[in-house]
Amino acid sequence: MVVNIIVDILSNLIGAEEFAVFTLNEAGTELSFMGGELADSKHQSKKKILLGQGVEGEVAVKRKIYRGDKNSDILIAVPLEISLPAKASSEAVNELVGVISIYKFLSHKKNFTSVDFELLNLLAGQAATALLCAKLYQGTERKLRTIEGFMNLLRQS
Amino acid sequence: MADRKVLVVDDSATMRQLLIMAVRKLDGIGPLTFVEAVDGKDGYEKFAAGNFDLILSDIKMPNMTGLDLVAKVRQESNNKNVPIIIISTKGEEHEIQAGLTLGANEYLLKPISTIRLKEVITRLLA
Repeated sequence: MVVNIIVDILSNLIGAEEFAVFTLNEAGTELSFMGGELADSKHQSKKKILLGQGVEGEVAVKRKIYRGDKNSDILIAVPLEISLPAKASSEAVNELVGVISIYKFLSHKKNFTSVDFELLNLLAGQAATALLCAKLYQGTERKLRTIEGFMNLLRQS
Repeated sequence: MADRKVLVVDDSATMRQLLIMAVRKLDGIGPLTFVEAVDGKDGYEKFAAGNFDLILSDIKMPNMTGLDLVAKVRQESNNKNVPIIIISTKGEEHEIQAGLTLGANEYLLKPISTIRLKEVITRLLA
């Protein structure tokens, strides 16, 4: 659901034609493809990307936006980061949630303006929060089901 | 003045909400009521059931495309004057021509420019 909304915004508001949304796995070792528009794209094979590997993997490690030129395979790759309070101190730490990569813009979109860039940055921040919340919610639901199953088992025995 | 009714047809709920939000924020258009439809078929059914002043429709949708919706609406003689705006990511010249030939009044490309959207809606609802 969250990924679908991000995909809709990338396509309809940012004007991306070929793009991918990746999320970081639990172990923090690789990015997994979660959604996007990759039909007939040479990037279709990108289902898993190890951290540090390729442009997306580098963006995940360095936590810096990549901008290619108009002939590049990857036009822009943005890290999805969320600022969380650190466990041991009062300082905030930036947690990586994933990466958004844009490979091609819609044919009628001639320029990627500063407003578009601002919009993409805003989306990246909101998307990171939404993806993390969805992940935490899923985890809680899973735990709840396990506990409920265990309780039922105890009641029956 | 009574609210004017706008039918918003798009298979993306996010896009429908964004579009309604954008149109609501435009000044000088007057009060509008929005009805949402999830594809061309749903759009046509809702259109047939109510008097609409404007249709905003995407093209690429399941069940019935936006182009089929335009054709179906225009086939009926009493619907010849209802303004239809196609809002699509498909920007090739032949796609734009196809939409306008079928009877759409305007063809806007996504991502939408609110300035252009206001200009078109104001003109069509005048």
